[in-house]
Amino acid sequence: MLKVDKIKKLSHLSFNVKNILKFYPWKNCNPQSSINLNKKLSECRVAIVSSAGLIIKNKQEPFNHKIKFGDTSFRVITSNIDSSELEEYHKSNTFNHSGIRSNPFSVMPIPHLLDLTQEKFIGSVNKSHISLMGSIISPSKLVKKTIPEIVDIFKNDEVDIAIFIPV
Amino acid sequence: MCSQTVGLVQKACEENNIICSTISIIDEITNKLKIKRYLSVLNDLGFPLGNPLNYSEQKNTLKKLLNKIIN
Repeated sequence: MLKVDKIKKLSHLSFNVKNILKFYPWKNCNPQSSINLNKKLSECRVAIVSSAGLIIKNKQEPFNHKIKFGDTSFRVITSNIDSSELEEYHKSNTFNHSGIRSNPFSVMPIPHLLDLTQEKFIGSVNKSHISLMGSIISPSKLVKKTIPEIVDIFKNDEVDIAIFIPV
Repeated sequence: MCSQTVGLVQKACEENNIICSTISIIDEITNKLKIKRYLSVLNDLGFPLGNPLNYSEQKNTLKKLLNKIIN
């Protein structure tokens, strides 16, 4: 059981939401296998996974807020995107959306990674990044369908490192 | 639920030899999820990399997130 009442950052949530979080059967996300980095960061290709519900305006379908246990689809955001082309469609009312809306790159930090490439801190930025809408209460479709598709994209692109930005 | 969503993607990526590092806003949830590698931040929900208008703060947080992989 999650001790929600002791978590200051969740103190603004309603009684009902706190109760859901308190008794929610959180999944085990510890990988059964993994490798250690076998090259320098400065040689690695990096991709981003953000749960902020960003889409490319007028080109991609908004996330569907009516799906009962959460929209498990994802959108591919390319590295050459401009922040003015991004729009947020996260349905959750449990966090302040103003930061994402004022600067979508604050949750999909593509320019920052491009800078880190220039500085030779990392090797390169992948051409594609992944946007999800995180309010997925029942993740079975996410695990069976969506995640294998995301992994395939990263493997085909020869991504070495994925960084994750939950909101 | 955002943490669980990205956590499940992280699990699959790690199992496919893609090394991962995650921002943790609520460490109690991150620990429930048994996330392998994360950077704990003081930031509030909705502001994972800090002030949305402070580019250097965000970039510095990203560097720390990436450094978690080699430390």
